[in-house]
Amino acid sequence: MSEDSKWASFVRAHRLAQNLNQGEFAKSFGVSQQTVSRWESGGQIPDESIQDRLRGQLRGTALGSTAYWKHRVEHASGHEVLLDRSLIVLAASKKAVRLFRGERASIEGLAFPDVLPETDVPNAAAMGMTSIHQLRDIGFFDGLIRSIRLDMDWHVPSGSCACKTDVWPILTSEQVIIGHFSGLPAAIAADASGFKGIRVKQVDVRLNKDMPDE
Amino acid sequence: MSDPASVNYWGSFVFSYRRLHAMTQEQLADKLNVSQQTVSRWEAGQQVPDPRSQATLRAVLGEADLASKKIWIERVRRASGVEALLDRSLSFLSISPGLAAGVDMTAEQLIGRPFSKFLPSSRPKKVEKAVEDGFFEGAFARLHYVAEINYGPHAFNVAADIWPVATSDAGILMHVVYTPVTGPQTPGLEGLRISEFLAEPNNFVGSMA
Repeated sequence: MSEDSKWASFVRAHRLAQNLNQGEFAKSFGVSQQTVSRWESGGQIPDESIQDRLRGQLRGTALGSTAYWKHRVEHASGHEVLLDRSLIVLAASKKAVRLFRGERASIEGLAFPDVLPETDVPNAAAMGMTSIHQLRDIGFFDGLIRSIRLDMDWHVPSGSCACKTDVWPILTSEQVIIGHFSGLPAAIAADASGFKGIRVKQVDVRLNKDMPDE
Repeated sequence: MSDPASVNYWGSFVFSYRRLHAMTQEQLADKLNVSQQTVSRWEAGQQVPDPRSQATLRAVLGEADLASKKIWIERVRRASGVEALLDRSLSFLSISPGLAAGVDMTAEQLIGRPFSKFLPSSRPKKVEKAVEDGFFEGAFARLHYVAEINYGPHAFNVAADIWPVATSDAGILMHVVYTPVTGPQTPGLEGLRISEFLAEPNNFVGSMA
């Protein structure tokens, strides 16, 4: 493919991926619509600074993608899990997999509620959110939730330890929300394998309302 | 694919917004950088607004853009673990309570200050090299090191994951996440010793890079 047609198809694909017409796209780059038309027909190559911006946008889009987030969670050093809106596990870190299923297993593609061990929520009435299935009902995957924090005890073969888990809504560059669970056991020795149970002591759900800086 | 409920939602919202602000369809179209016909189709429920317009509309509704720099700053500030968020000058944008406690400082003492001033030496050089090599332009998928740290009364081993975070409004930021790990304790060590450092290139970018 010639240099001209390489840029031509790239500009066009990039513009369409953002759902923009040539005029709108031109405006975002400070050029005329005719210029964009020439780029897309191969009659003109975008100049250096435009090329840099295009590459930058593409990298930014790539690093915001679900594929990248899966990669990130898989390589995380702590206990992390990534879920989609049907609560299927998109990715899990090594420590998370070891905790849930042991050394050589994988939990990707499984329904997360099935992977979770026996969960006790003693003060259910006071806590509001009592089951992972409620994530969808409260609008977590629709952008209505800012953050969730869980204070729990993890029961593992060697004993129990306190654990805080943050649940973050991630808005991907595909404009989809996925759930990022990040668990922080108080004791390093929860490098454990074989989750026996969870006891939820506290749930904090924050709504996504644009507030002034707290 | 349009879900009927969501089409109705955006349609009625757009119409109400225009009425509230006494705007014509042309004026709203201009504000959102779309055509007047597009606004008309939204209001008629024939089309759902594109992601960028949804973002603008969301802002009007008072819901924060979850991919924005502001949300990332808040996320790190509230994180349960030991985390930091840095900008391209490697100054702190945000730190978690766990990080502040770990270095015996307050957020006020660290926010806006360079990373290198407050933490032991050798790590920033490798991170600075990665910045020179384009970390904030998306050249890397992650940086990682394992370190033994002796900082004042604190002695611990950590794995550090350094992630590029793509924001919707401020380009790429640097998100540092520290995880305690088991490891050797070298008597008399002052500062930081890195036992492995890796810089993984970003292969998620398309063929044009």
